Amino acid sequence: MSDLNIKSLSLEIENAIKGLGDDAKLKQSGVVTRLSDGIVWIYGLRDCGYSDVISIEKKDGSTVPAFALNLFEDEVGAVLMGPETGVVAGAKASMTGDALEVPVGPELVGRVVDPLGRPLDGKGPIVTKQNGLVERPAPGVMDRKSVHEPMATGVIAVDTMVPIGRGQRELIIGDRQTGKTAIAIDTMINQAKQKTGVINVYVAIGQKSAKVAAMVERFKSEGVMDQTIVVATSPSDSASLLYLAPYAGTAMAEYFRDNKQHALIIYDDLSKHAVAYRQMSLLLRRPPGREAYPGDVFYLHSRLLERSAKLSDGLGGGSLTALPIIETQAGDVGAYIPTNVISITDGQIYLESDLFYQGIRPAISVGLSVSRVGGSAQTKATKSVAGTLRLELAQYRELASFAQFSSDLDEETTKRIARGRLLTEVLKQNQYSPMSVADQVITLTAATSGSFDDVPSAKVKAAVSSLLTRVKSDHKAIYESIDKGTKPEESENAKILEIAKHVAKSYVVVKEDN
Amino acid sequence: MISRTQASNYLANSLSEPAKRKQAIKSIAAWLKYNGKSRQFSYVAGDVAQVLSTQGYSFVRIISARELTPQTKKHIESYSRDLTNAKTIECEYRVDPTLIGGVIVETPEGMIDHSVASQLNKLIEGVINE
Repeated sequence: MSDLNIKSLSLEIENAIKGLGDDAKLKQSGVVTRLSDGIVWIYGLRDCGYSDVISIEKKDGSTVPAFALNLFEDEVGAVLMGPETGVVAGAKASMTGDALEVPVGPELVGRVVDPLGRPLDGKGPIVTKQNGLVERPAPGVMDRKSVHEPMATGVIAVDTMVPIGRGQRELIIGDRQTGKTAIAIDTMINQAKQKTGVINVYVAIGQKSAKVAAMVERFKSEGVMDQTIVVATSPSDSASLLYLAPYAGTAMAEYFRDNKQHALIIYDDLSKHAVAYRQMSLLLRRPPGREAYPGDVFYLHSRLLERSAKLSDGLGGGSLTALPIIETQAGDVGAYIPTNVISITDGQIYLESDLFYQGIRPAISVGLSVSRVGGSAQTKATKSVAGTLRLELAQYRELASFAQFSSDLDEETTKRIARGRLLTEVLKQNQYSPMSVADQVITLTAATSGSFDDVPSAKVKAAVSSLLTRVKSDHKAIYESIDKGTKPEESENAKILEIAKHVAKSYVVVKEDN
Repeated sequence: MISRTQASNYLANSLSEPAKRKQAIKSIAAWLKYNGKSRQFSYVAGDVAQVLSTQGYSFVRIISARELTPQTKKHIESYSRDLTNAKTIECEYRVDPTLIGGVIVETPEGMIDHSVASQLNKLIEGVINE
């Protein structure tokens, strides 16, 4: 090695040392004065900003992160993002200089992570090229475009009666055990089955770990995990992690929205999120309001859901569709959190316990469910059959309850009730079996035209299944054309009805034989 | 009720005159005691130091693993003066063997941790996180 190289090397090191010296900046530090239930009060962090990350030194010298939520004249109230074991009054607290960030990018797809982006699936560390801010402003008015592309859920009752578009926020609301998560999961499965390329982000807020584990296994077996990120928190996690989970999940999903892709995010569920925020707020001694929720609980969800949007073409045209879930108590949609989220979202799918126990699954209440913007995102094929469906079903439910008190009904009413029964049967769907656009259109074309009117209720599903098999095998061109969303022509409709009548005959005969 | 910050401002502004100073200290002590904040006297001192630092007077605490030589002290004092931009600085030296080596410089505006112990902790955390 020549002398010149050694000299230049020593110069380089010297310069590097000088550079290090310049970096030495005063780091504001404080002291933990009080600690209780995951909340720390800190003296001395005068320049601390809202949501700034604070590093708190534990007894063993390691650190635990916290984020500031209460900025008072004399002290800062912060929420610990890890276990409070080892954190004592008098512990040193210093500002990291960062706002709260999580790793984002395609590297997260197929992984199960916590709200800080740390892996929970044992598949090793996740190295991403960039981080995303957990709290970020939503796209502005000029950055958006109206919702116009369908987000097919594969659930025939949803896609036809309460259609969802890409960039829409559609609330799924109902009592416990009414199939709310099932609709969300079927939508995720449909994205894989229909190869839409939509990235799913499933945010489990305070869900039982066993339930999340079973769900991840199901995602794997259905081939959905390859396009899914699961952000999981369990009931044993601190309220701060439950609070952060939906924001972190949104930051991860926004990466795809901002990179000309389409993403779907499911918040399961925002009732638990509101409860976690209420816990934090009460511990931070913020004044309680209605149902003991703090005053800003509306803003908690509005700023979260406003981040789901369809971006303008200038920004790449990506989209983020949100399916928040809210659990009601005894069907009370007028409670504080449900009414808040109903008013924030672009519609709701309301699930009824009564329907669920009658075996009508998905238990969608036709009267109370609505999609405010999804209609314009429906394909022409679906629109052609969905027109009067909602009305017919709503009339049927009304007449059916009325008919319970009277056996002497006129012909028209009897007909309407029979058609309603048929449609109800047609709209029943098993879990994990989403239907393609063509399946939905062909089924409803046959059902609304009266082809299956004479088929007994118990045989309707079988009749629909054989109709779909026949059309798929004998008229592939028609099937594929409809599947692309093209409205079927008169001749194509006639063919479908011809097959439907033929199929129906065999089922009616079976009934007569019995 | 006045806040601790307001009380500290009052005390800091009373320090220049000896007569006022004595009265102000008495008042602050009474205020702390009757509001159940007796244990916050060190925070008041910290707040006062913060107010004074804006007036060109800085209180600097230097914590080292072992006793520093007079020459090193001089170097650190000059470094602290540059760091705080203060006209006058008052240094307090403390020895804390748990630092293993290096120094920690604490000023009212913030601190610089050049201790070996914190570097080792950072190293350990980095390894654990990986």
